Amino acid sequence: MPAEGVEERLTNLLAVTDTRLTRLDVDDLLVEVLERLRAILDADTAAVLLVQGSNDLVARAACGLEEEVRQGVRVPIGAGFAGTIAARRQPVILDRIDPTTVANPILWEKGIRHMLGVPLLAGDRLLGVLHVGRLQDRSFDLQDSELLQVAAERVAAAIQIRRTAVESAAAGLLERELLPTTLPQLPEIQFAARYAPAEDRSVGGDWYDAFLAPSGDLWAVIGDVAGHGLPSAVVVSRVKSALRSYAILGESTPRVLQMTNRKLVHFEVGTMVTVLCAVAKPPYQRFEICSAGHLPPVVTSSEGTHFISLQPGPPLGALVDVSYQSTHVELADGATMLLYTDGLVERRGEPLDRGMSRLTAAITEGSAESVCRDAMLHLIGDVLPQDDIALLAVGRPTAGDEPDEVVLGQAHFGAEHQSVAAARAFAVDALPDVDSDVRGALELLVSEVTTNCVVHAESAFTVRMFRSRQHLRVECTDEGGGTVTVRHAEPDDTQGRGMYFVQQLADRWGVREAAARRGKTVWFSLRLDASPFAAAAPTEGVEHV
Amino acid sequence: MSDPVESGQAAAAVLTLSGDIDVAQSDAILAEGEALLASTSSGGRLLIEVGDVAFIDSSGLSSLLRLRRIASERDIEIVLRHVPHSMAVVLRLGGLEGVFTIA
Repeated sequence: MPAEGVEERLTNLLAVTDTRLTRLDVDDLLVEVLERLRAILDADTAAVLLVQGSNDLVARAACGLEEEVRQGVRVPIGAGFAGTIAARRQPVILDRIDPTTVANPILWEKGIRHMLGVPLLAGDRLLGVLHVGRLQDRSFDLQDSELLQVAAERVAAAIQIRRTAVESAAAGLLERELLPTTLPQLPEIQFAARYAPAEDRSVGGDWYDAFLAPSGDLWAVIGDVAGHGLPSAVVVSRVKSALRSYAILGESTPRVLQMTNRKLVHFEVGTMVTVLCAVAKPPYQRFEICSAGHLPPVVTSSEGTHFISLQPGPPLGALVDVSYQSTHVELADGATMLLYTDGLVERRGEPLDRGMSRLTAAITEGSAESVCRDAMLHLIGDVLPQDDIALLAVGRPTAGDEPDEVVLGQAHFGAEHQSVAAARAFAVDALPDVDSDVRGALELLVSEVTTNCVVHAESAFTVRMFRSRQHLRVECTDEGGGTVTVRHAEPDDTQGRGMYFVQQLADRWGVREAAARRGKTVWFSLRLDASPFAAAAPTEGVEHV
Repeated sequence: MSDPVESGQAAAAVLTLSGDIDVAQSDAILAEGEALLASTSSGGRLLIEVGDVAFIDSSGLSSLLRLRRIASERDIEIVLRHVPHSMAVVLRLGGLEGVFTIA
């Protein structure tokens, strides 16, 4: 075969791989490349086997040997012809095809007399093996081997690009899946979050999560799975799901970490995950913090910025028997607690405490959003992060109200049961021209908060109403004892729905303890333009029969 | 609309509620309902006529749920009749849609 002809045909082959690269259908590409290789090398068979798992090669595409693919031929790395090429990562020319030299019986049953195979390598990574065979008695030579290696480079690149594309698409999908699209809407807590992938990867092992358990407990979670890419993203998904599952069972925070650790040690051998959970009951002032090898949160308030001193337990997945300690933190109004992953503070060749000092210097008292913004601005700036970064800021807004609020009225009521109806009438009269669904929600919530005053606080109370452009706000102040709790009542429970209704229907709500005397103020606001009361309306079948 | 006391069945007791049902009414409703349940035989029904209920809150629901608990211990069915829209919303918010028989 004239050398020029070979080069031309090789150019032709490479052109095929180049145009096909963009289309990403690797199986079609492989078949076409194998067909052309067969012609160029005057071969009768051509096949590609790809690495599967850590020990095997599996036939992926073949010409003249289609049964290899159909039968899903599997060859251990190190065994036979293809296995030897994979193990040595060197081309092999074989002139005797029998059970002593070849692991796959299809090859000798086919009557192949000579074979040439080369490894498919992407950098240091073995992707598989490409081989050709001749039925005629003519050995492959070094020129054939070089040509096949050039083809193998292109094939490897095509496979690699396709894999990277598939992996990044899947990882992007997981990332959208793994990070909550909405954070809990609570009147007493503002959330803000950031996720920044590392410069060279589409997704890493960092995540954050925030959710309400049926008990009303708020869970804020941040974590970091060792490693990157799709496998880490999958572990993130499982750990996140395990934490949520144990949390909604009402287990204690240390116990949730302990159980998740047990699951990881049992089912995800070899994974290592740092996690920090901050959990609070309504009204979400006091947080229980539990850390599995994770960096401590930083709190910023009018009194300054400091790290929470924790007793972290080992990372999840590291040890079979572990237990975790809780630390409690009170968040004052206006304070923000920032949970973060190490990518925010760690820099290569620098002690960790320097990064942590940089963090305390970077953030000051402000909204959750401003704390996230300042942390990213001052610690990351316009540098592409070396590691991925997740941030979750949990802030207690200051007790400031909307500036354009006007007072609609206020009234004082005695500590008797009849005051509840009187307070409802007062509230409805204060805002006569309101949408009937907003009125329905207003009546119900006034009834619930004032019932708490007369039944639990056993106290007289004052109702104040305010209106802004879009909101109606109601405050109910008592002088008694008792606290406010939100419970999710089961259908069989005869009590415990009052504050749950407030949580369901109010746009925002909260509790302020009186500073200098007994008593508290429960407040809620309702949107004037859209009532969840209407959204909760039954759609069928509860009207008259 | 049929008469609440249906023909073809043993006459069921009827508890009629109207107006605003909140903490101020809940004890009275519970007492009246308990008395009616006491005179209802096992396997029977207590009809609660709520067509004229203008408002109900969680305290009102609590008294109905307490009656339901007593009734179910004695194998008596409680049926809410003529549930108005605003009450249906509150039942739904409280996760109680399927708890009462509604007719």
